[in-house]
Amino acid sequence: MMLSMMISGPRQPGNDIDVYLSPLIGDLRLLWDEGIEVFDAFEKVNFNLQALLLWTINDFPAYGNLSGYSVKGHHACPICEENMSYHQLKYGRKTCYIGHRKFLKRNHPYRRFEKLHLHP
Amino acid sequence: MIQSQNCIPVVLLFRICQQYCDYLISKKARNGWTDKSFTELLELFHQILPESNTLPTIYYEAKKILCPMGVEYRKIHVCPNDCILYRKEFEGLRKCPRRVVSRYKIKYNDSDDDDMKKGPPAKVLWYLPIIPRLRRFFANVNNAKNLTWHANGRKCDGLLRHAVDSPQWKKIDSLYLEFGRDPRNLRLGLPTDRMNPYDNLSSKHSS
Repeated sequence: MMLSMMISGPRQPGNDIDVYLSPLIGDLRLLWDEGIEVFDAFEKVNFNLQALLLWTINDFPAYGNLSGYSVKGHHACPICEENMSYHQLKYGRKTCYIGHRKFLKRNHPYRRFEKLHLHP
Repeated sequence: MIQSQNCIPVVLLFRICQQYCDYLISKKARNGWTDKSFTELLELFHQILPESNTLPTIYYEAKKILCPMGVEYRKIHVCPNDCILYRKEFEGLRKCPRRVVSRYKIKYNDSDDDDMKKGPPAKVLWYLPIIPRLRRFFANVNNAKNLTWHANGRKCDGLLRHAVDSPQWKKIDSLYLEFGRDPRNLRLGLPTDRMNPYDNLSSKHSS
């Protein structure tokens, strides 16, 4: 685990985090496009090291900052986008995200639960 | 004082001093010696060794010997409104081009000649480049071995034990065959969350 940057200031940058990440992204692009020549001390050879950003680890508000997508409201999930199944309560006006059964297999027994038939 | 100046060549003495300085500092760090006691110890060694030795007599100088072994960091000035980083084409600017905000803290309120004064920067980003750090990882035998642990030393029984067993990882390997063939190629993760090292932001709770 490496600390890659420290940002000074009284507030966290929020949506402007992309400005700060640009030097890191430059390095990552170099690592992916060309790779760098690195000495491997275990096998005692030089080799071309490539690296790839596979995951980002964050909570959901920070996900919104990183992906530049609004993570609130009806289409909150940046992956589902318009296929998001949401339900807005009539009186409470809150948005609920239900209908997780659509991720199950077509013949999964949970799909037939009577109690869960509130929403598709 | 030992009068053996003629027995040890000066060059050799210099190298011994350099080498043992590193050793002493690592001992200091491991055993929690205070800076003051370390300085006293260095003074003692300085007296014991032959006269032309180059062993530093204060801790500050001893630490300076280790400076070239550290990994680099870059301080990049930032617009206080998070518009731009002052690097590449913006390197020489003194004001943010989008909103006219000074790059430096202005000491006095006279706005006429604030271009002339150069106070401390208003906001600084400390960037710790990852490439020298990755090189450092591979330069150590143990670390270099551990970096390929997921391919070589692991128990593989088809269960989900490590991130390697995840479908995403396998998909990346199958999409980029050249990349997936060498287990030394790295897959990085980027965690961003409220890092708050000195507890001086708004949240006071421990999280």
